[in-house]
Amino acid sequence: MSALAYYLEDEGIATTLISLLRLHTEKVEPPRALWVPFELGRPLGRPNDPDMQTTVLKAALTLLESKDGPVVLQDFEHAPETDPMEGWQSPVKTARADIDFSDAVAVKSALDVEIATVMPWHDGAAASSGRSVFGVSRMSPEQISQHLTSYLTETPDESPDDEFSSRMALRFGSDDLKVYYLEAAMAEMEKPSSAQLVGWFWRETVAGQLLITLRENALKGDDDKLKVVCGNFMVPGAKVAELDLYRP
Amino acid sequence: MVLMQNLPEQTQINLTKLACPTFEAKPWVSEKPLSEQRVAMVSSAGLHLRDARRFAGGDGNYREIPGDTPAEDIMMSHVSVNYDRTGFQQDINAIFPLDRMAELATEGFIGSVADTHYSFMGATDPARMEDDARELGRRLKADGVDSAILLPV
Repeated sequence: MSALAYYLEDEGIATTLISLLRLHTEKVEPPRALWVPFELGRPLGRPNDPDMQTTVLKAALTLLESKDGPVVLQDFEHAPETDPMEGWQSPVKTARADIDFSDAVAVKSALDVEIATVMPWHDGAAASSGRSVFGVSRMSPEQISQHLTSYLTETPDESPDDEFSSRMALRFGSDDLKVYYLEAAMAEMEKPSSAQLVGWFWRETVAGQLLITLRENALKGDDDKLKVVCGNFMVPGAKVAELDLYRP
Repeated sequence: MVLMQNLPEQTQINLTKLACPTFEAKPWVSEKPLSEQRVAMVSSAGLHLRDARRFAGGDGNYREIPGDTPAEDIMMSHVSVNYDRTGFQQDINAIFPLDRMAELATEGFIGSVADTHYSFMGATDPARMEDDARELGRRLKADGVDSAILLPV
């Protein structure tokens, strides 16, 4: 990000940037930067907090008037993150019963049942917010279930579209499945913290366990491209550590 | 929360080891007052229109996002799974503040908002973005944009 600031400024565009990782910003030294103490993924702070967003934006934009650079690195005052909601439970009731995750047919069946449970919550949430960012895979939830579970067999399905490979469809399908579930889990007015939402997905859903299984299978297999996709882009590093998942 | 010490240990190690480019020259563009500047947003969140080409690993190109795009049509295909996405799912303004920028222009805090915004995908070697970033800079200039706010994820 800081390098982009350098390139744009060098072409005559004044830049200011919001920095989430102070260490990197200090190393690259972009012309102007506002460091914020927010969670990665939330450069403007809490969602649905317009006052906070405006405050952060104004602080970053004001740096565009500074004449005494480089380098301007300003700290933003510490702002409260989303606190965990005491006693939160996902409104979506999933049941990760005893499933043999080596049995692709059984896993697909369980996942399809779970998706049917998630669907009304997801669709209700999308209807009330007027927005869903599900769809990056360009597959339906049922098609994602088919594509992902095919990777539990010896013969994974071909790519469902001509833009990317079957392995990339696996990545986008994995991303989309998370979006689908998490949007459903956020259906209620009061929003839990990101950690609670993500914790639910990885600990309590068949979908989460499927992704964990695909990751471990790929890392133990001999398909190097699949190792990259499933090993790096499926399960967050923090969850690998927290849940003590397989490490090669 | 996101002080380095609050991140998972492996993330801290990876981020600390990450090679960062350094630049000898320190370009600096002095601009007119903010209330007269035309400002574009440039994100590194791997954002794009619903039907646009998605980001693959190492993709150094950018995608265009017209300022009047409904939030519903802005998708994210960033390769990294190591940051929160529930903020984006709840509110586009948490990462790409289309509504806030429009308000700041109406209020006169900035001169105006550019017609088009842009997104790269971070987690890409900056060297792979250089040509496109420089081309974007020239394009912004040609479009009468004065400045850019860069938004990470």
